[in-house]
Amino acid sequence: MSAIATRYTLLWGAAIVGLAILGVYTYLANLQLERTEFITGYSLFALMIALALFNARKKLAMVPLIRSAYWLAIHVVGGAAAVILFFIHTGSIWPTGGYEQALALVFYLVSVSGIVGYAIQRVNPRRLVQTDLEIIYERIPAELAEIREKAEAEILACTEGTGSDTLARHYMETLSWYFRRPRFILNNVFGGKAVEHWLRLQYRTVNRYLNDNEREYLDRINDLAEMKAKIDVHYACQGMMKGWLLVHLPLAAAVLGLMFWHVIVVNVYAL
Amino acid sequence: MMDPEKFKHDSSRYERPANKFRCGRGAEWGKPCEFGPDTTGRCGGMSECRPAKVDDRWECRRSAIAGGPCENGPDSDGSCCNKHPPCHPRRTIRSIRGLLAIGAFAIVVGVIALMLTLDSGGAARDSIIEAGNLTGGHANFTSAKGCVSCHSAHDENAGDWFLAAFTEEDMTGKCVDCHTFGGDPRHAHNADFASKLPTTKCVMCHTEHKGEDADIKSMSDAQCNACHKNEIDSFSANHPTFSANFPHDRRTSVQFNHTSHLSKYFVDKRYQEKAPTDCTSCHSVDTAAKAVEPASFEETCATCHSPAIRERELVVLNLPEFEENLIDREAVSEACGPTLESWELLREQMTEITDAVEAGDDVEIPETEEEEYEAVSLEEAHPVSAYLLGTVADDMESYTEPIQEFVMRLAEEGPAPLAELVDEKAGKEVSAAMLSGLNPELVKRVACAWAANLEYEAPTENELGGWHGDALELRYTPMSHGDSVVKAWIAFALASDADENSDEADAIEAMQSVILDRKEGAGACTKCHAISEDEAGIRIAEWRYRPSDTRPFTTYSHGAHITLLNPEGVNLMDPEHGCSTCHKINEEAAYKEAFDHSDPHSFQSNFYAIEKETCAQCHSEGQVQQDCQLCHVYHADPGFDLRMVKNEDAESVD
Repeated sequence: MSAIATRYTLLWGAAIVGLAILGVYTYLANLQLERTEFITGYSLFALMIALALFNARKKLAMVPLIRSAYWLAIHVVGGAAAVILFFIHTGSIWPTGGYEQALALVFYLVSVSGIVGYAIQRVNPRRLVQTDLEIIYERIPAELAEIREKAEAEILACTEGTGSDTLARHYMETLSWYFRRPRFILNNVFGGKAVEHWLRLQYRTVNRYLNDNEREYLDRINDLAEMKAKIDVHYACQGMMKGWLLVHLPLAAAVLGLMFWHVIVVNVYAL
Repeated sequence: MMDPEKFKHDSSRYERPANKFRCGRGAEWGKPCEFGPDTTGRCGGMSECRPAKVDDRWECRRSAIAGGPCENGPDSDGSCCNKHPPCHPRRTIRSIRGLLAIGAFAIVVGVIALMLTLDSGGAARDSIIEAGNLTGGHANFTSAKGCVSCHSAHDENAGDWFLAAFTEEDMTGKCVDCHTFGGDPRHAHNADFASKLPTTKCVMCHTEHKGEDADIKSMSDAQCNACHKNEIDSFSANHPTFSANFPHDRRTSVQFNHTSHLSKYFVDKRYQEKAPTDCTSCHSVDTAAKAVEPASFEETCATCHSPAIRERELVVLNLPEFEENLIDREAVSEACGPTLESWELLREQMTEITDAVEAGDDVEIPETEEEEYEAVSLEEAHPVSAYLLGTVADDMESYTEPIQEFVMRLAEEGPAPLAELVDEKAGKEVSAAMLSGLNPELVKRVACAWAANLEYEAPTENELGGWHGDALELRYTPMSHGDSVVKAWIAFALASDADENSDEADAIEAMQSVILDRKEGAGACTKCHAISEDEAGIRIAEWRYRPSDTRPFTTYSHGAHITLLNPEGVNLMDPEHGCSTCHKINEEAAYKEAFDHSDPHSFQSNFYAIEKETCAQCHSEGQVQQDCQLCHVYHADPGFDLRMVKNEDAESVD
């Protein structure tokens, strides 16, 4: 078993045991006519704070607070446990009070965004590996600019070397659009092959009008286009891996705000 | 595969994704500059290098990544010769993420703050506090005052409101503002059990804000088992068997022998028409609940027992035989006026004087001859009057003076002296009930007659009942069943008690034997109405139907069962589906003997005990519901405080 699998197995085991203990304790306390919602509520409150600390941990990279990978594992397992604990706490899927419903809605959105994010983090790295290319997300604009410069240089060289502007006009009409910025983002998000078909079409379309000399330039431009297609996949996949947090984190912040108010109100009114 | 060499530290620029801003050119898919924006978001790429002055010359410092030192070199003023227009740096994803998170938190805080200040703490504030709708009843009565009806802190100022989070509110106290119980609401079952149980709170079982139609009363069997040591899995499985006389825990308040009434009394042809046809002849099933109460006396027993009631007269006073007459005639005349005999004697004397004057004879006023006293009564003193006056009924010497004095007082004052006596003997104000309807004129006339050593002659027959004089007795005839005067005298007799060795013991016993005489006196009431000792040990007559009170936490619906037994039309005498399904008459039971003493709990029921198995025929696993709350209730005598029905607006108008 790999270290990651061991880590997750242990954490899942701990979470299940913890939830089982809390569930049994809650059940027994309920039979003893104790107010179990305070036990489950404060447990959930503590768990939510612990989950929120993961973000703080990432900002404190210089402090030796356990490896970030462990924090991630705790965050993933803890997040799943929080959903179950939420059901135990509320005793229903949908509470009755307006404020509680708002809190539940945001909590569910955070949970769903977290699950989606986790899926993205698990799936997309494999897809990135399949591109046979490694590139830092922040460097993609520079890399695209460099590829574009190379492509345009090839077009100029072709025009000057062959005296034909066929390839140059083709570039101006079609390929310049492609090289200008990442394209086929949505298709790449879903793992489609639209870009390959599109490039093949462009290649075939212009290829018949070119002589052998021009075809050499076309082949080099096509190589650059394929390289750019891989970077586009990186852009789409890495963008998803960063973008889901734009939903998850603000919602988590909103949940924390709603939760703090809920705790205050409960203590004022229900104690 | 990308060339790894191009990302070596000296071949590529250093990326700073943690910075707040990134190059605007890169954001527009151009080639980013080498420096990137500064921390405040201003463009840092307006020149390609920052020339350095070496001795007196400016040298180009363009990095190798950007192409190394340029050909033209810095300008004379030391600025870079390769100038570019500034870009518009953009925020990095991390920065946007942070802003969104802070923004979302701020929005939540802002909305809460806004709702708290809007509407001066009205509906807007309540919307971010209310945990859910109240159940219908609670929603209605809290609609005027709102949350503060139950939550004291609700209308406090912000500081006190927040501090309330650290103090515990007595929510049970709020509940009992309106709800009342037969015992302490903080005790289990509102009762004082022998075993010490933890303090309870209403919210342990009843939690509100779960919606208008929420069931906030039901409990699970497991929750009942939390306190009960004998844990019960289900009724059919291991509920204890019923007690020996279940459901009867005491004898009935009215001695009604079902065996003899159903199989003996109405065998005689004379009474067969009056015979009850079935249980419903006497028991009102249409209002059946936990008990199927019998119908009223008038609807049931009166057919046979009503005529005898008027025959049971109560004698309160009598004129006994006296050895001598100690009553002052002048006092009698003053109180009652002259009697017919004295008028006649006076007329004779006046005639003799007139005749003597007319004849010229000397007028000699005759001296009144003292007649020899001969008592009009030959009876002993009545035990009731003897007890009231503290004399001995059969000792003429003892009672002569007190009774004659008492008769004179009655003649002078009416019933007031009698009222004083009964109040004094009872130790409390009972005369109003005991002497209700006693006409003062009647008392005076009777007393005057007795004071004059005469029998009282009633002007008319007493046909309607009530108080009346009968020659030498002051009597009371019950007017109907449930006569309040007779009930008051029986209560008086039962409550009178004295130490066996005291002087009064015999007098009390004699008085009681007369008033409670079942054969001839008003005590015939107690032939049917049981005499029992109450909690204080005082004997009382049980005038009303009395449902079971030793199982305050048990409930049962006869109505539901009657409907279920025979949905096509109830025949309650049907041996299989009627009342006898559960209630089987025990003809061998010594029912009558249970009324010979005053302990209501020493008895034999007219019916065989209902056994658990009878109920378990239907209430068992897989059949009819059998949870604890089906037959048991938690609270003792739950009710509402009277203030709940007060019209506060009306009061304020007053």
